[in-house]
Amino acid sequence: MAFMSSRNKDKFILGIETSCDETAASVLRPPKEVLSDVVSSQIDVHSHYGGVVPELASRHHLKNIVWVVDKALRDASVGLDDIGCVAVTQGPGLVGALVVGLSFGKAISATRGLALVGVNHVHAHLHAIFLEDVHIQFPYIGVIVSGGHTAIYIVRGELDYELLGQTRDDAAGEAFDKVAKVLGLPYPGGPIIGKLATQGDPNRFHFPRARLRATPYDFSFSGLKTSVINTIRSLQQSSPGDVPVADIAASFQEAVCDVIVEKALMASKDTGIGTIVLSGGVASNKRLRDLFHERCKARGISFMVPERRLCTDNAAMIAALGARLWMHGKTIGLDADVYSRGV
Amino acid sequence: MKGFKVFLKDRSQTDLVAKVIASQLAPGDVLLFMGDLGAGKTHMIREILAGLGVDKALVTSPTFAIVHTFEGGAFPCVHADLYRLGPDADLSEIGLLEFMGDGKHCVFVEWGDYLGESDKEGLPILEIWLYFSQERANLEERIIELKTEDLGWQERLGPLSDELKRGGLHIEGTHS
Repeated sequence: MAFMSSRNKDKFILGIETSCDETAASVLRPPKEVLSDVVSSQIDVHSHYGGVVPELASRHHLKNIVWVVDKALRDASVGLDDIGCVAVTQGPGLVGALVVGLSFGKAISATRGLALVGVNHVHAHLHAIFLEDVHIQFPYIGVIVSGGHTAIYIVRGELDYELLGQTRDDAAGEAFDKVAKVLGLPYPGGPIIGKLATQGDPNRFHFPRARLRATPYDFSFSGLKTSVINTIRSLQQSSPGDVPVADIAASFQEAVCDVIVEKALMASKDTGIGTIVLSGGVASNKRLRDLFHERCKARGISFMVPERRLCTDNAAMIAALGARLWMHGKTIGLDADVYSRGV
Repeated sequence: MKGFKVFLKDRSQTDLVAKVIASQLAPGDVLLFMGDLGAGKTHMIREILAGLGVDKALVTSPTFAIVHTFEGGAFPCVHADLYRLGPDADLSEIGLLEFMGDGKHCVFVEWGDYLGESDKEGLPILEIWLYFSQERANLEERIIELKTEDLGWQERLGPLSDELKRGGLHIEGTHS
């Protein structure tokens, strides 16, 4: 059962993702034909609270997972008999949320006698580009920017990920959410700051860009967050009701995007790797995409980013990387556990 | 409730407070951190954990994953963040309460004011409140207030403030 046997060669793979906000399931015909891709967003629930509420998250995953998986099978017009392998996000993420998906995957695997693979959520983001109709060669520089992760990798092969640097404190998306909250904007903060920023002056405020000498590929957004919040609080005190929200949003966004692009380009230059692939929820940010396009073009670096739907949390990317793990015989047993932090 | 305030001019003074607190910690202690976004809760906990021998680079914001655990120090530690749970959260599902006061782990909780009274009962809790200076002129200026109702911590406040005074820090309030 471990290897993709001839009996399984025409079988599909079922991907399940429950690491944070979204309960998601997808059916994929290896290597890249997405037959269905169902995402049940919990953002409506969370927006009342200014963030993801993990305790609610696990409860909602429990409520959603049966119909989300069922819909993924129906949308793909397949039954469990057509599935050869179940791929489940094993980490990193919220432990209570991950457990729902992994337990569900284990149950299907055990009762149907199917292979089970555990997928690293961040690696799946790095692999998502392979679901696009693009020609991409290893190695490439992979940049993941989301609510829970900010990291740069060298991706040397489909299962070979070398971490170059990551955030020392807050993730970029977390900084967006917290700044948005102080500005009195609703959750999630990223899209709203991005929208407001288009009307603001990115040079009105110069917020700090953290450059870390000893570990130059690492990120730090905590000092930026504090600086922005201090600016907002001071303005709220000195000129209440007249805080230049759009200018703050634009200046803050510029600082985040600037430092991410700068470090990715430095990684490309230092390693001599001429391809950069961006992914993760914050990759939907237009300014970040535009800045990458602009600066990569100027340096002759090839830049790629999957379509928005594949950048945000989804199960198609879990199924896609799961298919490669399955092919390489990297299955997990029923005793496998989830993990909260990256490896 | 007993305690005192420390007035800090820059980050190195904050780090000194963290180091002195670390020297007073024992397994089973629970430290609650309160303060606005950006006040430096994560930074201070990182410095305390470093004082206990944990690799600083491992200490990141737990906002996303809620609970991080650390084994590499003098004793096992837990770094939690209740920010996203909010004030009315049911903590029974996140596994934090099992660590608090178990006699083995030292537990650090950001947004500790979100804990319910029943969650805190009988625990050796030190409250650490972080404030920006009123003028917000200097980004690194902070006021840190230590408060506790726990008798064990009240005994430790004296040595703590003595050590901070020796380090040249300005302290206000009674500790005993």
